[in-house]
Order: sequence, then C-alpha cells, then structure tokens
Amino acid sequence: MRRFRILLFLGLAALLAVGCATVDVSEKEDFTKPCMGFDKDRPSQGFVKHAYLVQEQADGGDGGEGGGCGCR
Amino acid sequence: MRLPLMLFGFLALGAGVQAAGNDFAQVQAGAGYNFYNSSDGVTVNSPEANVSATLDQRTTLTLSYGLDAVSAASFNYDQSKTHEHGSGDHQVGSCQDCHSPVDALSGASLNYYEQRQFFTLGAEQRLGEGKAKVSWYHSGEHDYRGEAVHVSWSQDLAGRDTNLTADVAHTSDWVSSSIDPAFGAGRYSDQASLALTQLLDPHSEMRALLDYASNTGYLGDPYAFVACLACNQASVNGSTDPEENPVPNKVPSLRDRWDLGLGYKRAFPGDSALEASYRFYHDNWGVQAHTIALSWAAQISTRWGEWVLEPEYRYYTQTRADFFRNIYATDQAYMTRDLKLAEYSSHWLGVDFRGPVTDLLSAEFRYGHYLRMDNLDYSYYFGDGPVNADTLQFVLTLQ
Repeated sequence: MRRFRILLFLGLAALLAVGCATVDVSEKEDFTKPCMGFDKDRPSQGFVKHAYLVQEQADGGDGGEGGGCGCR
Repeated sequence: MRLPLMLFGFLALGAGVQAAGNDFAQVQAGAGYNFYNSSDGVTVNSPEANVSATLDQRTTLTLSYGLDAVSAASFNYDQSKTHEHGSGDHQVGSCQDCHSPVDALSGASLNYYEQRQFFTLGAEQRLGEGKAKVSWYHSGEHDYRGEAVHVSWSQDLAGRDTNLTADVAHTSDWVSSSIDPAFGAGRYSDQASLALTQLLDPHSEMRALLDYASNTGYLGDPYAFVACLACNQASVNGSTDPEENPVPNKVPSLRDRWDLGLGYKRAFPGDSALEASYRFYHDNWGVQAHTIALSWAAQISTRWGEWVLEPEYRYYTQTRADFFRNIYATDQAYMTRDLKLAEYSSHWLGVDFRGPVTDLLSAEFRYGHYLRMDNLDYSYYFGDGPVNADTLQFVLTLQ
C-alpha cells in the first residue's frame, strides 16, 4: 500500500509539473500525423483489451471500462 | 452467412446515407472481424460493426453491435490428458467418472458453443471546448446479462494543449448457471476516472489517468471449483481424492481496485513515433500488477497513401490474491484456484498495419501473440502448462 501511495504521489506531481507547458498552433504538425495518437484510440483496441481481460486480473487504467462480460 | 451480410449492411448504410449528400449528417461506419484462439482450446470468432452520425457539427450519435461466438474443444472429457491420482491411472475419456460436469478454472469442460451479443448506444454533444458523452451498453449470453451506463465530460484547456476528462460508470450484471437452473446472482460496479492529456513540446505528449472501481455482489464463477483435502464434501464414486470431490469456489463480495496509468508518445524525424506506457494496478484482494507497453509506429508510403506499420510489445506481471491456492487442506472463508488470481507474468507481441484504401475507406490489420509464464503445478489443472493465445483482426472504416 505504501508503494502505491508513492506511485500515486509521483503521478500527481508529474501532472502538476507539465500542466503549464504551451505549444504554439504552428508547431503542432507532428500531432496530425497518422503515426501519432495513443494506442487506446485504435478501432481494434477493444477486442485486444478484451483478450487481456480474459487472462488477467488487472483492468482499467485506460479511460473507462465496459461492463457485462461473462469472462470477468 | 447472416453475419457477413449484416456487417456489409452497416457499411452500406453508412455509404447510403453519405451518398444522400446533404448538410444534415456526416456519417461514419465501420465493420470488423476479430479472431482469438488459445492453447487451452478456446476459439472466439467476433464480428462487430458500428455506425455514427454527426448532426449539425456538434452532436454525434453512435450505434455499435458485436457478437462473440465462443467454442471450446480441447481439454474436454473426450480429449483431456491421462493423469494418476486417487484410485489409479485414469484414461482418456474417463474424466466424467470423477470430475464435475463443468469446471471453468481447471479447464475441465464439455465441448461447448455459446454466443454473446453486445451493443452500445451513445450520444456526444460538443459545448465550446468541452464535450459531454453518454452511452448505454448491453451484453447478453445464455448465463450472463450485463448493462452499463457511462457518462463523461472532456474539456480542452490552454489552447488545446491540455485535455481533462472525467468519466463515471455504473454496471449491473446478472449471473446464472447452466448446470444449476436455480442459481442467479447480481454483480455491480461503480467506477470513476480522471484522465489528463498534455502536450509537452512540439513533438511529444503525455497522458495520465487515475481510475477507481468498487465491485460488489457475486464476484465468483458458478462453474469454478477448488480441490480441498478435508472439506466436508460428499464423496464421488467413493473416492477420497480431492480432485474428485470439488468444492465451489468462494471469493469476497467486495473488490475495490485502483489504477494509475501513464503514457508518453513522441514523434521522430522520418514520420515515426514511439509510444511507452505504464500502469500500476492494486486491489483489496491482494493483487498488485504492473504493465509496461512499448510500440514503434512508422509511416510507409504505399500506392493507397500513407500507411502505418506498428510493432508492439507488452509485459504484464501480477502478485497472487491472498486466498489463492492450487489445493486447500481445509475449508477456508475464501477459496479459489482461478488462474487469473495466481502469481504470473505475460508477454504480448503484436504488429498493426493500418491506413487509407480510398479517400473514404481505411483498413486495419492486427496480429498479436500472448504468452503466459508461471510456476504453478499444472497437475491440478487439465492444461499441460501456461496458456498462450493468438489474436487476428481486420477492421474497415468508412467516413
């Protein structure tokens, strides 16, 4: 539990540390490229997440979770 | 045959509405086919389809449908391995003389086939730099029914350098059993998360998420049993072998879990990008898990346009639940031999290939291999060792 609290604190500290960064609109070209964007936003990710859930106890941590699956 | 027709129907619906060409709606439709096969004999064929319509640039309605067709064909009574216990060396095909008809967690089950159908209805409304989303999810199979409601608010801040998303969800499930028609129990979950995405510089962004869920009700598995040496259980076939006298599993009726997720994505020269993520999981059953994922996305010029090739790797490790055992000496308050609650680690290796086919149609192909590693004594299970699995996916999106 102590390690969890330390990780939680480090996570929150990281959020606060980066909160004031700014990037000009003219510098955002990289973020429009097809190779950018997080893994969880891909159309195929739902089924892959489901495959993990069948095998693993841990879930969540990626922006919400579905309910009603007989594998849980 | 009906399923492919239905999936093409979704795509045709999207194309049809789009061809109608007016300012009323911008329509996107998708259809996909997913395949899963594991070394413990489970095969899943899962087609899915979705359609969404954006009205007046601010409101989006979505509908998605999917089907899991699940079959299990090995480690069953006809094909499972011979093993020696209790009253001697048991032969292939004789398992039903001793073991319960279905034991999901030891891998002993009759050949079976079942279907799970699920669909989601969602609505999204843009309000300035904010976005509200609400969705309702339903899942049904012959022995399990689930409903979920999600509500979220997403807010862009600081010139869209920052995004903050809050999400709450409630799920309500009903568990029944095909081997005990009298059995039925509710299972509930309340979940809340807070996610932040932040641009760090012109080439990189990070994401952080805190997630909490409280699960209550019947959290066990009506098909799961444990082996117990001295539990007060009626003997089967006069044997004293604990494997032949299974006891239903028992788990707590409350599970609180916390997740902390961190992600980082950086663009590199040559149209490529690195993604790294970490997740810490903790629950009050004693399970702690760490997940690390890495992927490298590279753009490739093809005759159809810019495609992305992305090899990916994921490592997962967890501790066991406090009450997990392969076998129990005496009756305990909580007992399980669910392999998901054991101590183990796993590797995932995959590759994803995606990109445009035409101006309106894009495609994605994805393959993954899952490999589990543990030090369990598999003589208590029907499988010969840790499971491994393959997934294969193909998704088409029309917009």
